[in-house]
Amino acid sequence: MKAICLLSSWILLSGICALSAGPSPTATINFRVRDDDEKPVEGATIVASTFHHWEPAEGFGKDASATFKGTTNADGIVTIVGTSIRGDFSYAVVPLPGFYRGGGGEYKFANVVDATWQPSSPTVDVRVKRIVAPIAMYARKVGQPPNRLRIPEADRPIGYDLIVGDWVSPYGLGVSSDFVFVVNRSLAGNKVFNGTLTTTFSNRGDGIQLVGSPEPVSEFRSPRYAPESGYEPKLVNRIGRAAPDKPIRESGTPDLVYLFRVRTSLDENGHVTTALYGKIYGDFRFDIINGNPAYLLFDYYLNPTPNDRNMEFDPKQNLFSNLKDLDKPTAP
Amino acid sequence: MPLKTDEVDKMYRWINLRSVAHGGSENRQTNILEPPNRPDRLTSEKHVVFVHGYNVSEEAARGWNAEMFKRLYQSGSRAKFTALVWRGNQGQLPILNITTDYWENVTNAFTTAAHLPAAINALPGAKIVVAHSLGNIVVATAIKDHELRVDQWFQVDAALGIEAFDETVDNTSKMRNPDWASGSTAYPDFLWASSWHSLFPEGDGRRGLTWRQRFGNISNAMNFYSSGEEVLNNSDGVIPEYGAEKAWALQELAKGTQRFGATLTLDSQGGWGFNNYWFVDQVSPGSPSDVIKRRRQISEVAEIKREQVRTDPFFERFQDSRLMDPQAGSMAALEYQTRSKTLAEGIPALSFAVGRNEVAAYGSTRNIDLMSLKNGWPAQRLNDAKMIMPDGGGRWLHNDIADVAFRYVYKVFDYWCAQGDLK
Repeated sequence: MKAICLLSSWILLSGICALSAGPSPTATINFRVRDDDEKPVEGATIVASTFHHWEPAEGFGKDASATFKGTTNADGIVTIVGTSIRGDFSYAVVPLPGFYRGGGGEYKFANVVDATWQPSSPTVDVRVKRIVAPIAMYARKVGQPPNRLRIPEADRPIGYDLIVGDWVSPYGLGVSSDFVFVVNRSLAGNKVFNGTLTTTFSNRGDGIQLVGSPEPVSEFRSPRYAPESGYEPKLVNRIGRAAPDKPIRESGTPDLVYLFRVRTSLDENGHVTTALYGKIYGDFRFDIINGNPAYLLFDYYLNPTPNDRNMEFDPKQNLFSNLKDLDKPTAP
Repeated sequence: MPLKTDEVDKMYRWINLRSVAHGGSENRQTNILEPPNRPDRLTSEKHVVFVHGYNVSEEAARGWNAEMFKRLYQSGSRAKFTALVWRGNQGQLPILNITTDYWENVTNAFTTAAHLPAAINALPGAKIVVAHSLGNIVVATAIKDHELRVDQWFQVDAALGIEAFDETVDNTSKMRNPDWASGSTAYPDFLWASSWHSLFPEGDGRRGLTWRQRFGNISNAMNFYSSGEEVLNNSDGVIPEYGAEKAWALQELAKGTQRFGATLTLDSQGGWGFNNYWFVDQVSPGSPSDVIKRRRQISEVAEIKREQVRTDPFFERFQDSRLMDPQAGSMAALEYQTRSKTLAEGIPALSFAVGRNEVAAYGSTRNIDLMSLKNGWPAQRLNDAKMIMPDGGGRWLHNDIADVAFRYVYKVFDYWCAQGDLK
């Protein structure tokens, strides 16, 4: 019996592997590619891929795609025509000189009418960001395991120097408290706990603001320039489990981008005379489960030039020259 | 000076446990003697044991282990290395390299685990276990049920639900079979196979028929997950189509049903199937003289009592009918093999896969996204938009720890060397 079933399995699975053999409905998509100034991008190659068949292999096998390509005209538009079993397309922009990677996404057709995926000829907007003026910055992935960064003490403000890349004295070699962290934690058994990480600053006018998840989707995730205003003097992150049967809740998500301003001097009218601007990809994360009082993790970029709000980082020009591979940010 | 070339697998030890599950055959026998081409005096006191995943034949295991050994070696590891091979490809079809019965191999993972402590404890040095995919059930079970002691456990692309390590994680809205809900309402969860265990009092063996906290928060485990996973990608609440994308979610959502994957295995039980015991009669719309049986709608289950579904589950009956017997059920559920097989085949996880997500209970420093450890990515991968993230980066797929060239993934092995102090 088992042998018969294995044979039938073989036949059925052979059928799945050969799904591509039959005719597939036609799909047409128009892509309209623009840069972050809304200008059409000519000469951008769009790759659109759709499920074609499944290939047996170790583990769960592999999906093989049917891929279609086209290049945008002077209006930044390209029409791609292909066939698809499922009407599920992923698209991407082939790395284009002068632009950051990104602008990809998915498009799923609704249904098939007369062997054609519907809606017919939809237009999908694609945005790509230009490389304008990447600069050298102090960029560091702080506390990336296994190089954990322990917050030295709980319930006490402790400064972190972004240019030195260390706690300020007496906990490290830093001299300027650019960020000031306080971690509070309470534990009630190993399941119920609550932790708060408060980030403040040393100077009037210093602060931080949340950008959120930026559009367009790009490896260059932040705005090109930090704003002149809108910085908050305090940020609070929380993590905790309220009861043994409740899930752990943590504020923040990996998609966030923060912009910050430190080492600010103000004139008598409260205007900024000098300041350093920077950004954080992701969120401040602190681990009170494994660390005592906590391990701290965040990825920062600091523009070293006073009053320069440019946030475009050149990963080849990291001003930290002695970072280990795991501590180097690779995103611009 | 003479130059000699030899096989890499003479540089490490080999433990073959294929025969312990369903009488699998072994071609290469266990040998934990000092490897001839890398004597112990050239190594440190650390010992890395690698456990492969699902649908890996004995011959393919040689490839996996050779690759993992070489990559660690290239990263500077001086640790001893042992390949642990188990039967995760039962039912593999010849030529096609397809293993139809995933769940049978989950059962094999449970079975194999009992033999790990003796095998691994016999090895010299402090142990760091690296397990890939389904191999993590082998290790988790050995630690939880059989007192395997290891210094560190690196979970790589772990193919099991988060709830097994943190019972509070709940992705029910995405991991519930759509047949069990209609709009915003669903069948009461006491009717589900995933909740059946909760119908029994403490001390009843059937309380163990759940993935929730099956292993608990194992303090020396680190989760190396990929946010770019395809096989373990998160369900969006819709039954995934066949293929590698969301394959793990599909097998959880198909448990107990008559879907293709489930019926192939001959092991359809429990899960999201419906027990015809609870079906009701309905006059056939096209033929008033005919009466057909249909499953009850959500609005028709109010009178079903918890006591009733202990013996007559609303879901597809378990294959082992003793489980539903008031007298024999508890003892049957305590039988290791019965519990393992029932969990594997009949109890769906209600959480996403570990290998795609953080396990919150581990804390921020014991969850590492493999996507953050890429060093560039192969250009040919970037010709296929299905392999690319929206930000233009390549996806780290389920087998990429071995499939993608070392130059792109070396940071992971560097990480292991640093974390495990392997140099």
